[in-house]
Amino acid sequence: MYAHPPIGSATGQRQPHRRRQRIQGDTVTTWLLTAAVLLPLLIFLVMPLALILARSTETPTGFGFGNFAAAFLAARFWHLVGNSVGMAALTTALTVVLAYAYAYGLQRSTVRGRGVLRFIALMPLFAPSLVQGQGLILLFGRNGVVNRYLGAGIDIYGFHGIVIANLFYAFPYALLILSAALAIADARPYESATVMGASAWRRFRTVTLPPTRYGLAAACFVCFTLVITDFGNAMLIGGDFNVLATEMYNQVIGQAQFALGAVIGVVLLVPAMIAKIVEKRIVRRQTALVLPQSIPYVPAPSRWRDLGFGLYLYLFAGAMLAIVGIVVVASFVTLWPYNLQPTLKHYRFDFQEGLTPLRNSILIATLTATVGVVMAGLAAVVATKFRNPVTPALSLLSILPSAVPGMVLGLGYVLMLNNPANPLHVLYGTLLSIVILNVYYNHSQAFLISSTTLTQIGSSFDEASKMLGAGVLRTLLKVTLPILWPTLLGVWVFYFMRAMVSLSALIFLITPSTKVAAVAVLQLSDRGAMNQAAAFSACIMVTVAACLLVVRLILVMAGAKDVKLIR
Amino acid sequence: MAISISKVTKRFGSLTALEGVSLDIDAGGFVCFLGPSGCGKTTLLRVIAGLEEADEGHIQVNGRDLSLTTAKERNFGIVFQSYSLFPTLTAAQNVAYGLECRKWQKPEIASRVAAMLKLVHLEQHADKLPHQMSGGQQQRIALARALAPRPSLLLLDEPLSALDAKVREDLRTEIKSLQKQLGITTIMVTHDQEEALAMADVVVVMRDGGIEQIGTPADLYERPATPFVARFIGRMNFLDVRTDAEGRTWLGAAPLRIAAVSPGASHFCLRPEHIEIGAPDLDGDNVVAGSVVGVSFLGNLTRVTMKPRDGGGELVAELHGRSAAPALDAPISMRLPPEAVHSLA
Repeated sequence: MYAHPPIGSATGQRQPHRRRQRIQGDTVTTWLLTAAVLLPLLIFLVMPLALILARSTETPTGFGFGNFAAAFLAARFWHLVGNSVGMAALTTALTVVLAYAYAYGLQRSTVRGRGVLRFIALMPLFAPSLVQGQGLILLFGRNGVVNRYLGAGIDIYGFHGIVIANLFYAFPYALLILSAALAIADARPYESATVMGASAWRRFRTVTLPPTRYGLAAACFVCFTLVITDFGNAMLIGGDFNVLATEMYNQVIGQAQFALGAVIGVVLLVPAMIAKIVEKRIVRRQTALVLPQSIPYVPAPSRWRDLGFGLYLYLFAGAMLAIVGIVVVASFVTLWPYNLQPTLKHYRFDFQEGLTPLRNSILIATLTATVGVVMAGLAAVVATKFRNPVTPALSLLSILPSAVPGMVLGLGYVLMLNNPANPLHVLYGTLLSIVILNVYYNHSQAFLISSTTLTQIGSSFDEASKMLGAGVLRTLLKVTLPILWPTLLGVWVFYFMRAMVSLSALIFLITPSTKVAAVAVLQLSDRGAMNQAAAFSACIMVTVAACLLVVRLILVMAGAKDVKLIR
Repeated sequence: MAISISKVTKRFGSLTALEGVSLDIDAGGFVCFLGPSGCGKTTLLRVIAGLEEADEGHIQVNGRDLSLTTAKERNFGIVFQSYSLFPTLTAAQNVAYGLECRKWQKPEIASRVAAMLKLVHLEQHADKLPHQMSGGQQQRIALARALAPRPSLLLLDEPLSALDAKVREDLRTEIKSLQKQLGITTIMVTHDQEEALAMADVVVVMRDGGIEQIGTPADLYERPATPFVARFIGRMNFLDVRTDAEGRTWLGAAPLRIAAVSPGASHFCLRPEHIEIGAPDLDGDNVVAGSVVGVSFLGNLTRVTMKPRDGGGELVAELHGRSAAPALDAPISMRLPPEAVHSLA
């Protein structure tokens, strides 16, 4: 290499130096906002994950992989891995195929009542994440209505029970992705294919399927990650069938085996991370398939297709409704299934902690939503609007949580908070710790929703504002926020819903003083108080539905109709 | 307010958008940056605006260096192609925005906003939101918003490209007369040569991150300095001229007289309107016979394409007014006036 000759005049050379000397008000503001987003991400996301890695490699003789070696040498460990992977793979395959057909029926047929059918299929998003297990037990359990009255002798506990419960649990997540993939299509290839004489099956294979394969891949990854780390259903309906998630819980909570828990955490984290990277790679290859000049595809009525899909959609929705609905029904009868006398007594919550878990949940969900909107919204603003050297890292950290299973992050929080040497120990056993966990566990999606809208808005408003003499803060408050608020309200609802229903992330943080509704459902079910557990589940569903309704009303009144609330 | 741009270079990764661009703009002038997409014209405008930072070189306004002044502090007005009116603010609030940033008093803001809306003839639309107005109205509000804080320089980034042809023409006249009336130094970026010729005092033709030619519209049309400018502005016949050992020039097999051949010339061209169409048996210097291979009727003019019999590439001539056009395949001749042929390096 040779030295470059000096470029430009004398003033030209002096400038870079002078440019660095003056610090503007806006530069300070952007760095302050960047720090306000980045520091909490480092403390509440990177630190817990680092602690899991540290703990898993911490042995009596110092740093080493002894814990891994010990775990990997145990036959029980591989038995659990086999159980988890087999269960998750089968569930994922079933869920994605069924959800694809359901999404296809919703988007590409003219079956009546598609709005209601969509809503029913999305119901699990409103319910605590173990409601499927609960419903299956009420229907097919030892004291379920089927065995009791039909004498069927079905044993729902175990492998198939978990698969069925998780199928219904993961179904809405897959449906949302696949439904979006099938929602928009260009009519012209369909017309061309028909003109060229392609059969319906051939049209499906050559025109419909290819543009949705990215959606299919994404749905597979999301389902697999959700299911392999699900805790509630496995605990409730697993019987003697153990999986990694329940083992982790038993090791940490039952026997205080933090090191072994951390090893399982790493074992769950690594495949999830790899899956996420693969998914990102695949999605990046997807280019714009629908161009501005596309003609939207509108399905025409077709008798046999509509009859077939109608049958399937209504049957599946019926099953979904039965599993969730039976929980609501059970909450109103005296003693399921022996005494079906209607009663409201389970809503008295006249046991030890009473309604406190529900109140805790609502408080936590409200705080989570409010803090979450601010943090995720600010992160999106910083990542999309500010150009400084740390924004790429900030974007990466912002979407990292989607690759972290809830239980793993929760375990990291326990390792971080229950150590008296850590200043954050003050948060241990507080509702605030659960709020923070919820905020960062759901950070990716909230961040992506906000940053997608910000990207769509584009930078021209910012530039116009800057040229008119506005600073960063004025532009944010006067221009960006008024455009962004409906999206942010949608993010608020998203956080609220997830905080109300999620279980596996926060299970490790639960202490007697911080019990939440979803945990109360688990404990009451465990104790055999199925009716009261059902009443708790019903309360959670009603709370989420009410929140959804109020926000939808606000949006309609404000004229913002195209904000998606269910995600 | 005079602007002096010297040796400005801007790179985006491996792509060089501007390469050592130098340019002086006189106070009160209307300058157009004209060029095909990717030539660097918008980047140059954004560097002047302060929205992009030049990697090298500097910009001075009335002799004062701008490199330490942010876009926010430059007091330049800008109008973008995508109106970019703030969608949640009314027309009046949009116009008031820059005045609020400058902490004007309320009554002053109100009177200035009223005056600006009157200036663009939209006083009755003050309380409308941008989506309730047409594209042309939005762009006029954007212009009022840019001018309200009394900027020292007005920057227009393809302001008319998103509009319908008719609206575009009206607004073109309106912007031009507003600029003269206010006497504000203005820079407009456009890829539309007609727009540039109609509006600008000075046109800067750009290509591949550099300046190709600077001149008045008439200069560029009558005396293009390079084949690129000749081709880009108006229509031009490039003649397939061969120069022999004695320095005589030939078009195909026919001798061609050219009034002035500049030294080192390698391109010879002339405008279609300078070619005279005549009978097939016409005699004289620089007359080329051939047959008609194309006729396009364009209303006020007719464009005739002829293939010369003795070789030398097709020639296009324009007939103005209501003169009768020859039929396809008809034999005709074209006279290429020697003084109208440009020679370019």
